[in-house]
Amino acid sequence: MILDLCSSSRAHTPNMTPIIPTANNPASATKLRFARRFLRSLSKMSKTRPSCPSSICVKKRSEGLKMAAYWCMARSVGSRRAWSRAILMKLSRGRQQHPHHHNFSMKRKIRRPTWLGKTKKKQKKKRNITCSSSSYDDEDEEEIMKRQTEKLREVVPGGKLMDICSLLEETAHFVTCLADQVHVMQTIAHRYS
Amino acid sequence: MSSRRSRSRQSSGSRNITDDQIHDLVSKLQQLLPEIRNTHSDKVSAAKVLQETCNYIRSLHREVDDLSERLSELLATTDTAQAAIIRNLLMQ
Repeated sequence: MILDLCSSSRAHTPNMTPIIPTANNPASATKLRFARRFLRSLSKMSKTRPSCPSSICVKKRSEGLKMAAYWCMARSVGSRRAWSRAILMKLSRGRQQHPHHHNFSMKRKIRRPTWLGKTKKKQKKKRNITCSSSSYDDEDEEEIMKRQTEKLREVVPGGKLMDICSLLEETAHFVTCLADQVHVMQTIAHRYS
Repeated sequence: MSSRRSRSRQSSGSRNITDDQIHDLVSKLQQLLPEIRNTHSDKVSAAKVLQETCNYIRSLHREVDDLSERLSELLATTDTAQAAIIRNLLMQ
């Protein structure tokens, strides 16, 4: 069944066992690991916080689910990638940041990472995007490239400290994993609705 | 000395990064983007690929948001039977 979660976008051999990932298909192995991890935290969530239909509960749990999804993906990738390390660091730091840890967090102003979405800066960014597409022609190619690179640094976790090559490599890997994450979540949601 | 300089300057040109390398990486990135995957790489500028990448990442985040909400609602409407199903999924 877990194999099902990974099968539709990638072909698989019928005799492949669902638990053991194949060595020649590491991307799919990550997806499998993510699927198992995420299902496990889903089941944990439904056990510890049993059904509560109020909208506050749903909202809170959906936030928790989202964090769990990012966390599970980063854990499945492990620490060999800069972006997953960045996510793991941010999320574990976020965990320590409950109100009673306030004096710790005051010293270092920690901004909500942009890849978690819903920042206050969103408005400003949107304007930037429209600006960039309208003035596309009369600007130096290199200048545009530079600006787009900066934007990419914003959306890729840990992207701020990378040189351009690592940034592009990490971005490619991050995009693949994020798409896998969405696909697994879609499949799970589809099965239960 | 050059390595010290590359730390302060991260733009292309430092650490002997060639245009070819960047071109290769950008076209690899292009293959991952559903919007422009099938367009010939000569017709898409590198900046355009990066812009599309940003848009794609943002749309994926939005999907994660929506799906988390949906899953949360599903967990709310269904009860222990649901948990049992999830556990079953894990066993298989």
